Amino acid sequence: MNRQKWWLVATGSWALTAGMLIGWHLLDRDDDTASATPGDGSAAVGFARDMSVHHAQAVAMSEIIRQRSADPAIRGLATDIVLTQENQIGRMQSWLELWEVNPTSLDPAMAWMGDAHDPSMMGAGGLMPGMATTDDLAQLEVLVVPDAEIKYLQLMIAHHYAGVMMAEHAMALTDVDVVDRIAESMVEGQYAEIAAMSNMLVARGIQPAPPPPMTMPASGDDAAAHHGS
Amino acid sequence: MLLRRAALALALAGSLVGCSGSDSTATVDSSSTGGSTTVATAINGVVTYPVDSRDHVEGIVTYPQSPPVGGDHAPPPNWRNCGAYSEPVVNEQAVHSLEHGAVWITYRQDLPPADVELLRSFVVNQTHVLVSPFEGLTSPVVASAWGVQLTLDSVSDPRLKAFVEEYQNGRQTPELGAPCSGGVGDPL
Repeated sequence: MNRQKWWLVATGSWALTAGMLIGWHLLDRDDDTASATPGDGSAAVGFARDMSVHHAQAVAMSEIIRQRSADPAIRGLATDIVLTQENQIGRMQSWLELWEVNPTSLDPAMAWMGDAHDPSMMGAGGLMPGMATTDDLAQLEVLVVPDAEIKYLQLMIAHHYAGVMMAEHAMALTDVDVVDRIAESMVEGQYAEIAAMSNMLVARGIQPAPPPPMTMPASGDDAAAHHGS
Repeated sequence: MLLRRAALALALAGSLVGCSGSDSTATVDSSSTGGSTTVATAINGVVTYPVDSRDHVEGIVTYPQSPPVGGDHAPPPNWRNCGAYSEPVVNEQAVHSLEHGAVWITYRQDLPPADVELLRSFVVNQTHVLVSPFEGLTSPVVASAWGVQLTLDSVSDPRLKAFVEEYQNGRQTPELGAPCSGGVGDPL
């Protein structure tokens, strides 16, 4: 074997070894790469479970006001939220089924955020950020309709701010295409609805509350920046 | 993306030797007794029951199990809203919730307050968990979902958590995706 062939073999071996190392490194990044199936403890699975629960409450609140309000704008908004978020719940639950993990978990909510998880953002009794209490839900049912509409808008704005925060963290922490796509659509859709609901509150003579102080990821869609931190 | 796929292909090619997938086959080592089946799953002691009928009916239903694990039930919208209750709930309504994917945690009425408090904490951040006392229950705690049941002597048995995580909106649910809110009842 002449010198040139040796060089080729050596280079080829080096390239193969490097490729294997890079490949294993990528595979080893938890389970949140596009190539591996996310497992228990991953941000993708935690997000799918927690956001399913978060969405279910938005659907429940919207159903209450949709049945009580006569305002076409409120009813239209509520219908939009119900149908969009039900669809998203179904998609997230399907991932969990495909990934062969349990549909639900009793572990503390938001644990999938890792170091970015800030316990101070949790609600009363350990409720997820932005979630309404059972008292809030009861008020939606019993307040006179104009007041219930205001309560609904206030609760849903807070709910959406937290939903956006969760979705942005999911985009930062995972590299799973379906998760990134749904999270991005949640961020865009819910920000738009926050603006619309804020206008509806102003039209009712109520000043919307400012965004709650929540830890946002440093850069919304940069998976590398946050991974493994 | 392309680079990552190429790297993955290389990694896989290099890993053909010495890397075999772990084939976890569920053991269905079952012993049948009176229509019920004890299935050896990850959770010891879970008993499965065939449920043949799930019609909407008015009035009282006689269920073969107590607490019931499925069967005919109250018509819409009379599913029992999930959450915790301090009084027993109507069987026919709770069974409707089971059909929608609920896990119903029932407990003996003389359980100490601290135990009751612990059981009530199971509803936090969950959409389909129902907790209530159950009249005449002989065991301290019984967890039920559609077609499955687990009887426990202690509220701190770790199998309770495992049961909820597997069977809440689990694959045995007849109407997966149906709500456990917007029905009847005001939980605590």
